[in-house]
Amino acid sequence: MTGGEIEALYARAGPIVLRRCLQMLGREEAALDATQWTFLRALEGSFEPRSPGESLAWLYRTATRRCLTVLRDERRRRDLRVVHHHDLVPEHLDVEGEAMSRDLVEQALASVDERTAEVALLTVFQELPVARAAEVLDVSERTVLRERKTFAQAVRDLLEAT
Amino acid sequence: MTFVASTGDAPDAIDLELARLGGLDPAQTARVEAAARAELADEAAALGRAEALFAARARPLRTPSPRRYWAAGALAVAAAVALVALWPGSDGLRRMGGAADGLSVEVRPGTADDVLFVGVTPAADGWLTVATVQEDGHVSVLVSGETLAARAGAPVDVDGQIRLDGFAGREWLVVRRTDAPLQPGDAEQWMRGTLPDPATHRGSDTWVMEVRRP
Repeated sequence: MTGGEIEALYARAGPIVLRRCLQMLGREEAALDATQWTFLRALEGSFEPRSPGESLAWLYRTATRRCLTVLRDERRRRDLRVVHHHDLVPEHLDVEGEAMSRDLVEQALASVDERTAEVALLTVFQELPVARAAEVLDVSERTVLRERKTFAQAVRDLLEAT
Repeated sequence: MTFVASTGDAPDAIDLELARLGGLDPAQTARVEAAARAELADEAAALGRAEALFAARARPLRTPSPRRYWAAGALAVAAAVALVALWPGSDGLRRMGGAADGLSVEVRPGTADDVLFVGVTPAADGWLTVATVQEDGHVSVLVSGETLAARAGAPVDVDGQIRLDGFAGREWLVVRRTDAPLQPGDAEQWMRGTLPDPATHRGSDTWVMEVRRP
């Protein structure tokens, strides 16, 4: 895509990506940065989607990976604690049918591998159906279900340990 | 890796987004638009709020451009102003800095800790690193890497994510702009190198403010 085409996509799909980044990061400023970062990656790479569905799935995947990096980076900083105050960001997240505090769920992201964390960001933070998460990650629904269970166990282990 | 229109009984949020991007055929679009007024009403409302936020706050999509030396020079003069003023406002907030020095910090009382709301206006494009530096050598890198892009003359907010703990000694908030993003390890090393007095490192691309607790 040309720079102009990607800027047009930014105008149309930017709010969609921003909403998802907000769900994952919880803060407007960080979500705006992650949204812009996602589209800048499209500008820098050879981004040639064949359909809006392919564009959107690529944007989901890239934004999810970026937000995972940001969340893990934040957790490494001792004095930085995230303040969630946006109406698009719930205080509790549904983890396999149990309402868990957002802070606890964010902590659990640090204790699982990247694939499990990506599945968690898509299905727990963004509340995507299993089939949609499978489309983003290009894996089977069975894999998503398995990774989601692994993540739920990590959250429960963390809860018991605290 | 692609999204396709759902074939189930009810469209989902992705169908709604695909419709916004023109990725569905007319029949599918009509089905999704009907759902947006019924079972997908919450999703449509959330997307609407995100659209409003994007329209109000999203920055234009462009990569950092070459440095603007004239602007950096102008800011160097402004940054020479001392930054340690702090006073309680009538609204209970404490503020430091101001427009003249390019860095402003608002301290809002929190339930457990005070929260710093930091704003800075860089004179050149690049990337920002934000850290607190304690006199005992402890450095907390709050923002680094490609997290916070800077654009010449555009205010950048690091709002609501920094809390003051109970450290009793001297502490400084340091913001640095660089052309290339600074990774956390390099950022920490540079910040520690500003001791014993980070204020002496103020310059066109470095803002330093001593954090004063009441």
